Amino acid sequence: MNRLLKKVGTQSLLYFGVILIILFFIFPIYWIFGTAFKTPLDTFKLPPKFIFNPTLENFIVIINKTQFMELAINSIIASAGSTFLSILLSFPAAYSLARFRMKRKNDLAFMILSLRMFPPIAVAIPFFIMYKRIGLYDTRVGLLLLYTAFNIPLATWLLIGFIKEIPVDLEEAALVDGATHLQVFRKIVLPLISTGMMATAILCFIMSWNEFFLALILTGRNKTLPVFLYSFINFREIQWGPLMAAAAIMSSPIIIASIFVRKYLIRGLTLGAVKG
Amino acid sequence: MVIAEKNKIKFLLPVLIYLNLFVIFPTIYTWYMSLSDYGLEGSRFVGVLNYIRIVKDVIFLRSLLNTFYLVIAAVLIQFVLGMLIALILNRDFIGKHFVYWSILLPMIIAPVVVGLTFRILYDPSLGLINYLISMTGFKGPEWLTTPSIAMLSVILVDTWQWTPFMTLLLLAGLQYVPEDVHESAMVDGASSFQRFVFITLPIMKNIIALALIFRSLDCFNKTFDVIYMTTRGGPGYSTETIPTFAYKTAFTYLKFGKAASQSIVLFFAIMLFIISLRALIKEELVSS
Repeated sequence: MNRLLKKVGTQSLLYFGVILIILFFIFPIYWIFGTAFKTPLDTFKLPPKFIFNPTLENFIVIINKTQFMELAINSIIASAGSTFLSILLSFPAAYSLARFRMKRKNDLAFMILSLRMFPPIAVAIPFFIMYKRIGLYDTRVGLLLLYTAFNIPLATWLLIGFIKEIPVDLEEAALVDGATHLQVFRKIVLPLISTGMMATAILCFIMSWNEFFLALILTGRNKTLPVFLYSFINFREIQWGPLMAAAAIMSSPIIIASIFVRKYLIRGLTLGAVKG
Repeated sequence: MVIAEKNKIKFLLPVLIYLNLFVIFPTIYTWYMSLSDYGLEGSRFVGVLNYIRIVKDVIFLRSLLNTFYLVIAAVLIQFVLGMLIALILNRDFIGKHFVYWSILLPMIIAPVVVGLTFRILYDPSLGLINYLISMTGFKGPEWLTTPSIAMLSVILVDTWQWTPFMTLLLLAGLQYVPEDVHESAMVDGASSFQRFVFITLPIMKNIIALALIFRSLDCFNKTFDVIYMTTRGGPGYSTETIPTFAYKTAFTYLKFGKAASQSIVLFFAIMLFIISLRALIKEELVSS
């Protein structure tokens, strides 16, 4: 009897703990969306209303009365562009590091990863000066190029992991069967790596989409969405409703994507250490 | 191998060139800039003058201190909390995947959004946090405008966002601990706590090191967003870190040489910290 009670006791404690964990991490996110859909009057009511009449007025303000939509394009271009470029560059490098026997190969891979140690401010200052000189300041291309540099280490590291999961024998067998190198690449490697590549792309996109510091320094009128959010609280009396609507729109694609590629996001965010 | 070995260097070249161009050379240039008085009017070489000035700059020293305070406190708190959560999640229960998803969310939301959200949650009169505190009869503090608490508030925001990182890594590490080692220890009469400290932790050494190192790096380099959205370095200089101070020096005061030297100091501080951290962990390994 005692043992049963103890078991029920620990089980309920466990579930209680789990619920606390979920509430703790989800609550602020719920709050963003809640505020986005609330009328100005409801927004600051205390005790907070959990059941309220939703309204779209905040979204209308954000979309119609601010530059939000135009700036979203900047974010999309910078993020998508850098994602594409970094995967294009990283894939060959990852393939080389994953497949070929090389002296000091591990050192090379480690070096690429250690670039994470470089403070962005140390890179940003020369780029600010140089971009102004060569006319890349406040351009989407300029920002995109720099984002690529910061995406490459992550993309390379992840792609190495994904490539290693494809057995070498598959490629070698195809070669033995008479396929050309290119055919092996197109018909075997690429299809098998497509999910991994997609996951890497999504993660790189998220990192660029959320990036604030470099965008703040290197853009002015062509700012990205994170900088827009920041400028919103500087120059206006803070309108929390529209601001949270903007935050909600900014975060929605990512949250939705996370439902589908949860495992891969976890893998990417923990640098390949956690596989599932 | 699929493609001729002679191509192996060719495959690596684009990435190597790109990274040298966009990361290594700029950093070297920053180092060069730190040795000059670089302002709007141009630059002239002044040697280590900037560094001598930094050492006497009270605000810089404060921001150096704040930076280490932030990193050490945040990483420690997140490690303990992350470990606790990992231990709870290390069992089988219904809805496990939903929980994994919900702890993934804080990490993928933009730090500016997180900072913004907590800025209002922290508001002394309108914010939810103080409201909840007031329900227990106490009066909540002014989180972001009280010098002694401001940095702690920032640390809490960082903790909300990145504890899941620790949790996920530690969870993976926990799953590598073999059951039979625990069982034989239990037979020998070890308590849960003893088993945790003397068996689980040492086996997890490598992943703990990985988690601590990466989290520390991110705390040095990626906390700008949250600080700028909540306190911008204030009140006073209580949340000024080297990145925020260097940013202001460069882009508000346009003193690029000075900012460059601050960045280089940060770079070396990071190196030193990581080297010490690794040495500390190895030492623990040897002594246990």
